[in-house]
Amino acid sequence: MNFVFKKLVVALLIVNFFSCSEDLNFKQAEKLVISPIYNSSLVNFSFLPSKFFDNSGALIRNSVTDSSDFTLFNNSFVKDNIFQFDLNVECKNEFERRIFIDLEFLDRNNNPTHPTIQFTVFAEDLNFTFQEIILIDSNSSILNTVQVRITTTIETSGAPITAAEISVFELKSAIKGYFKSTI
Amino acid sequence: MKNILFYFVFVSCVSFGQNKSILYDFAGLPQNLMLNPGAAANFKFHIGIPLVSGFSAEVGSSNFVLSDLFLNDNIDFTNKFNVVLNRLSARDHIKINTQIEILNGGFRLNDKTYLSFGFYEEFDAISYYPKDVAILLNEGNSAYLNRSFSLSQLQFKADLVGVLHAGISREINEKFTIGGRFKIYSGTFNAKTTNNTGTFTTVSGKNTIYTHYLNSININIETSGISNKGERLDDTSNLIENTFLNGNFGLGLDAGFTYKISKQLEVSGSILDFGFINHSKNVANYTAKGNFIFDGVNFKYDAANATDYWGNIDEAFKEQLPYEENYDSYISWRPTKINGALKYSFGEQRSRYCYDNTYKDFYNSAVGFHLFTIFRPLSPQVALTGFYERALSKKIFTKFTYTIDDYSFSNFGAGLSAQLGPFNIYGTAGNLLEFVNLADAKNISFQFGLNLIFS
Repeated sequence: MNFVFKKLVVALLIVNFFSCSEDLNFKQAEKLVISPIYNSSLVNFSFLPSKFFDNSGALIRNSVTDSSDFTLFNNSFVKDNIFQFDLNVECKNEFERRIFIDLEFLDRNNNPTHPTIQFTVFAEDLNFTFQEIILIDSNSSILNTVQVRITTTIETSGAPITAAEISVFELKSAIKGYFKSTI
Repeated sequence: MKNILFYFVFVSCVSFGQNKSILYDFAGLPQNLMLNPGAAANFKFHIGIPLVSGFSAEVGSSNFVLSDLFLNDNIDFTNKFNVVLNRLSARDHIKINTQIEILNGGFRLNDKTYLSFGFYEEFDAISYYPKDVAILLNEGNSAYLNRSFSLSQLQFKADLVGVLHAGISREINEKFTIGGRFKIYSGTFNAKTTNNTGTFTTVSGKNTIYTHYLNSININIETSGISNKGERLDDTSNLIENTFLNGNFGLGLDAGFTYKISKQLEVSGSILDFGFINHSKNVANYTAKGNFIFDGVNFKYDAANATDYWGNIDEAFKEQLPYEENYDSYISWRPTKINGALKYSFGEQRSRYCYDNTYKDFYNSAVGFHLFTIFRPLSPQVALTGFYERALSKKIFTKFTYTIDDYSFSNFGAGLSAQLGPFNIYGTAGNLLEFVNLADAKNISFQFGLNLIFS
């Protein structure tokens, strides 16, 4: 019996001494690519006719402009790894006139980093959608963007509108960023 | 970010403490006293060979093996990575534990009392897999609208400590032996994040395309030994130095017993590392707490009152979900372990020369089982071991085990202890079948050491 156990012990020791491993290659980790896609809300606004018209229906201004800092590309991970982002816009136009939107990406000197994105929302179009796909490789200057500016212009002629009306224009926008990162 | 993801997947939970089921109550070794201070010590004195009296290591991962990722098989690594990522759950984890005895000695105070003492260093780390965070980093939120990504899955703990200890084993009567061990911990490195809460959710908005919610965020990361008042410690040489009673101090207790129900049947148990460390040196803690909702920039088109939209959002974020760094001391609890065993001895009776110039009878075979529990950040981990011991002679002892635990249902282990005069050498290895191919091993462990034992 002892002999059997001694053999078993020797066998186990041999297993330990000669433990081995399949052929591993840890350098493969360098080839890891992660490709997350993130959605984020961007700019939203809505306004009534009083933004453009007075109570008599006279046009007090035909366009308004507003802007905000845009810090997405301040982040080094984003700047280094984003390869595409999609601008998605949804509008609801209850006005009986067309609305023209100019969306600009600007650098710190207020210079455009991308051609102005323009689209028109037709009168009483309640389900307008727009998408602009921006490939970073062919638009690398957009990575210098620090500000986004939107100019909204209303058609100067058309159906009469007064400030008292409760029709509304709404714009919602979001971006979808595509990333590819390697070690 | 990928490095962070890689880290989360492979190094995400720390706690130190091995299941030494083979070494527990094996061959009358002095190291038994470290696992059960109430174990019988049948020798006059002992001294471990410094630095090699006890070395143990254990590496385990609960649901993937090295070959899943790193096998040289010409399969795209990213594909393999994603397969592993999808397979893991938030309860899966990886752990590393090593322990080196610097000094281990003991002597008999009288016929019934044995004193032991020593110093060892231990590194223990366990990280659970934060599946939701990993998905968010790896895939983003685009495909997961309305899904709440949980931040509570962030669970990590790591310790590097030196432990100075002194224990006593006292035989109350022929049947009952009890013991205790007092420990002074010197923690040189600690990092932990546990009990976090919070979710991140992206939903389709009413007045916006998306609304993003950070709800009930309470993230707390505590560290010591990494930085000094915000300055990262680049000189890591003092990490080891500080384990020699120059770090963050703590106290702990071990306690145990052995009771002989009959001549052949005995029950034993112990609780180990019931203690804490107060971290006050080189502490840096990071917290984030609150709620925040982001639905984009809402243009007012008010030329008369220009609004700093992004500045306002940034300010609101900092106010509603403040991130803070502080250097306040904190307490970390040691991973307490509990052992329990039932042992039935049988077979040929032999006599062993003992410290009191008498001979004690022992049986050359024994069977039994051993239950081990360690308290981890997420939940206790339990291992059940069945064992068979066999003395090949008065000097050579063997032990064979089968263990069921989180990692395997086919964990066979073996141990060998040999006594050549006062010189003792022992070695154990768990999960022997996985030693055949370490790349496919979910959990491997071993212990070995050299002692001088004088009966």
